[in-house]
Amino acid sequence: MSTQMDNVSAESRSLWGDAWRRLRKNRLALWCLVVVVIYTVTAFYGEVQYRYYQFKDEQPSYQRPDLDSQYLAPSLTRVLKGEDRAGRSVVKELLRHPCGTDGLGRDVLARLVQGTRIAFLVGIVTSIIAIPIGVILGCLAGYFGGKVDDFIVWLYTTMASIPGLLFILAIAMVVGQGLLGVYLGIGLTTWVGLCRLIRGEVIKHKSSTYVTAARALGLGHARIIFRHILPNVFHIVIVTFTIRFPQAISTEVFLSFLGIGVQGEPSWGIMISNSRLRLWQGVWWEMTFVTIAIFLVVLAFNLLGDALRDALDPRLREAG
Amino acid sequence: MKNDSGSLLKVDDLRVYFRSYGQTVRAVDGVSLKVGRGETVGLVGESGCGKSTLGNAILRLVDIESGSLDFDGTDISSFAKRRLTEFREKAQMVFQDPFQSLNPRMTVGRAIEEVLYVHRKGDRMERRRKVAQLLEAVGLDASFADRYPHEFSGGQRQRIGIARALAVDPVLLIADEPVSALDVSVQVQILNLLKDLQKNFNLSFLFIAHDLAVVRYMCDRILVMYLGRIVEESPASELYDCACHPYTEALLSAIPDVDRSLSDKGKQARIVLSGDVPSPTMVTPGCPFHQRCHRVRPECKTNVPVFREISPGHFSACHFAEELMGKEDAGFRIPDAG
Amino acid sequence: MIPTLLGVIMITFILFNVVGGSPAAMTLGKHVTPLALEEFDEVRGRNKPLFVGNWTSTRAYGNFDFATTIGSWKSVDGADSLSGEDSGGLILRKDALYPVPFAFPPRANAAYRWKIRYRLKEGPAELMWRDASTAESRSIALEPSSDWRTEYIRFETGEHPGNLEMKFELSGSDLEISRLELTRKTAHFFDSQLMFYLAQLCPLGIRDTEAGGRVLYWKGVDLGTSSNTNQRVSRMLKDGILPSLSLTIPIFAIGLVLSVSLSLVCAFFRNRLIDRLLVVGSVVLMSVNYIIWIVAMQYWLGFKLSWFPVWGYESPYYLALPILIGVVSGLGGSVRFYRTVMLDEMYKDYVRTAFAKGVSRPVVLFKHVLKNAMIPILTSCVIAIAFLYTGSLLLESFFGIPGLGYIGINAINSSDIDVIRAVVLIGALIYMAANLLTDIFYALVDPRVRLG
Repeated sequence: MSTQMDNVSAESRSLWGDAWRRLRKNRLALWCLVVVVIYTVTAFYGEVQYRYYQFKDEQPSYQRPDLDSQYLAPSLTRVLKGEDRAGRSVVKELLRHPCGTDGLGRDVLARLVQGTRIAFLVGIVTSIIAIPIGVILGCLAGYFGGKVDDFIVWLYTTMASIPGLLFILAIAMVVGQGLLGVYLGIGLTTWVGLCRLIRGEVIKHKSSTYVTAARALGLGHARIIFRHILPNVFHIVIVTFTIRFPQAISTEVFLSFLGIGVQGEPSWGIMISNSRLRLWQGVWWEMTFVTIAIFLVVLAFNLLGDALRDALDPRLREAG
Repeated sequence: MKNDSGSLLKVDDLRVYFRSYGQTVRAVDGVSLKVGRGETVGLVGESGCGKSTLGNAILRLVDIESGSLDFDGTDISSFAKRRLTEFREKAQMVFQDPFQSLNPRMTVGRAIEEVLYVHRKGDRMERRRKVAQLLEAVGLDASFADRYPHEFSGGQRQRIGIARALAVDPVLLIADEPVSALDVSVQVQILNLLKDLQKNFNLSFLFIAHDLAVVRYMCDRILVMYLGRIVEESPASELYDCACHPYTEALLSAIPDVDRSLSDKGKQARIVLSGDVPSPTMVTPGCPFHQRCHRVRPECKTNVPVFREISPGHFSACHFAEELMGKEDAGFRIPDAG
Repeated sequence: MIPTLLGVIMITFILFNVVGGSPAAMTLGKHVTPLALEEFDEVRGRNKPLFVGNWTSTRAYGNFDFATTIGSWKSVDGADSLSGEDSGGLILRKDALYPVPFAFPPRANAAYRWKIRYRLKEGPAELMWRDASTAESRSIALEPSSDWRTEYIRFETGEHPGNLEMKFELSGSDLEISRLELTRKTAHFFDSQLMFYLAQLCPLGIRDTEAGGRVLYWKGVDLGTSSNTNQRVSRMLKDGILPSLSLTIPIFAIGLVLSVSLSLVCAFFRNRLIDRLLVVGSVVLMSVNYIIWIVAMQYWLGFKLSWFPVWGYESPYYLALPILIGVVSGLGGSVRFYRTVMLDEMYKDYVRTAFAKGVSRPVVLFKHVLKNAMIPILTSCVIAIAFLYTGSLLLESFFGIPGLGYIGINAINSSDIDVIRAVVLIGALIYMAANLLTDIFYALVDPRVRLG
């Protein structure tokens, strides 16, 4: 009594596979992905660099002042202006300080790389803090309802009432110096949005038939939540991640600009703060390159987030 | 077919009430029924009469207000979660909506295998084999195990749902409108599948539907439900010839009859019920059906009819059930369903 | 609403009292007398237990970790550090008197308690104290113990504790002390930081009415005192409201009008060139960091072109640049969001029906789509008001506008706990009020929603 299937393809098509296929078709999204990968590799390299100097216990090259090379313009500008190359070939000169140097003669490009490292550290660690909290609380609230739900809703409503930046600043101030305050501040405040979204979706899924079927089949709560419902709402986590990541980076820029957070390491915010006053004196390169660095990564994530949201939208999936 | 040494399922005066914002919905309001071994019992009624809730309550998927649920000799109405797992291996449900009853992100094979895994039935190899067996038992190719639900049609998904329900080797299957969402041509296939499975696997069925024609094809005994209560119970062979409750009459008259010509009025006329179904939050005095009944008499408004045996195996909750029994125009012929 | 309010109060308490610990040292610095620190704490109710308790720490006698130093005992003749013990200790040699080195005199009419962990081979060793003005003297003997032993000794101060002399008198053998702590008894079990905070927020007094009865009344919230400027915080915030509003309201209004107009344009010219340009433009605008907006605009428009002043609050003209920045930086996100709302609305069935009936595009847009789209738009707006609160943090600091944001940032930089706490609290209140307004607005506007 075998039945015929007209439209079955040779390989099985999971929903993730479909999403990836749709994403691949989007040219712009792919470029953004490339940009993100480049930044990630840079951040990784920066981390290796950092660890190396830690290991050797010496001051990193990007922190070492070199007063002979203060305020060097970017190499292209120098070459075009015909500045003295001290016997170096054109190519060599172009490779030397391609983004110029800052007030203490430190290479801007190297500092940008370190800034990338810090930005990604903040983005990743805060996501590691915020995402599990948001997802777990959202699932518990949506699935169990009742008092558990009441409590969690009260918790996130309260947290959401406190003005975001201020809250982060206060936490960072209270926790003290260093990146830990930044991590906790951003991590403990940004789980709220995700929790709300997950809770809403879990509530929807909880009353769907496959969950009832799972209960009838004797599957336990934990299994239902984590093996059945969660995979169906996970796309929200991914999209939220692509939104939160650049937001975390931006917030870190604020914080380090205000002097809170990382000290003694070149974060993008510190670089902006350093170069701000020099702008008035015609030293444009540090500010410009930092701006571009931040802009590109935030833009890439924003566009990627949009594309992902379109690709992952299960509404497009319902074959019906 | 019926095993006289005790029924498989015995429900006694079951009540399921839903409460919210100060109102109580009496979804199931005192239902008693029995399902014997190897028997197929049908449960019919309009949408909202509580039949799905009854099915869910029997499987302990919703909380029971009062009443007893006796399964194979054990009262499970007050079982806590742990002991229910055992029970879950014995009674399962086939759901109405084939498009929603399967997890879209799991392959079909994994969905069935998971059930085996949770109930600890054999190791990996054995489970895989069982999955293949089950798929073939419901008429699907074993290779379909690696496909996702959205790659299948409605009828196929329903088969998968049945296979999944059979994974635990149940003895009772509650089929909650299993074919309502399917095309007519596919309905027959699934119904026949269920019949075959009943023979091969020794199953008992509680078959919930709103379509009397479907139910006639499948069931040995039929219960008619209205507003959370059973109004008539009868062996299938008798019900269609002599219904003893006005509501059943009305349901029967609504079955499309291709052979009935327009000129055949009179006793074959459609009975149209007046008014809307009253809200289940309000408790009507007297007979719950009297507001829409086409045979209503004064006493119906005040006296609650008693559910009693009219003839062997045939029960009704109407004051005038006996009269209806004898009446000639109380029955309706259905042409033989295909 | 109420539970949320309580929640916010709890969070501010946890953040600033529990986690924050003692701000006195943070704010006043290192080289400050213990008395000054204690007074700082006194004003803010911080020299109390956190939640409940009978005993609280006091700086009248500094608790030293005898492991590293014997602290103020250095000034006492004959007191020496105990060597050879793992956790360090103090040794007072026999047959001498040792005055207890208080950092400052304990307060009047209070009960104190020593917790002393000591070892005494043989007695007698007495702790005696004398109030010089009344010439009363009391003493407690320490029981000899060859093993480390912990004892509690209570004493009470009189009217003039400045004249309190307290000394150890030893005759038998050396007294070795490994721990010595002083705590003060609280006024009552619930005399805690939490209660103090709650009392600050909701000070109640009893007043006699004209009718001869007595009634409870609310004295007005006390938000503390700024450690920076020593002003009452409530006063500071009151002064800061107007400048903040003069910034946020124009930004909000202009931003709203502009974004709604632009999103209407997008919806009208759906998928044509101008729509795509606006979409791309919005994403680009959104991706530029807020700080960059400020710095760049300040540089170009303020410095290079000298169109606007960059610092100060002299005249409305000084607000021009910050308002411009506030509007432009928020434009990107708003236009994108509103555009989505508009388009969602446009795809609905009733719009298609209207088009099918022959209604022209602009009419459909303005009459139907706009009206229905305004609901979610205005909803998000009311919340956005609350977010403008923080947006102004940066704008005000960079442009020297003395509003709430400016006050907030200064407080963060100078660790002015009371001010920060107040700013956070007020911010939360504004947000909750905005939410309430949203709910009310929704109930009024959406005929499907019923209150309660």
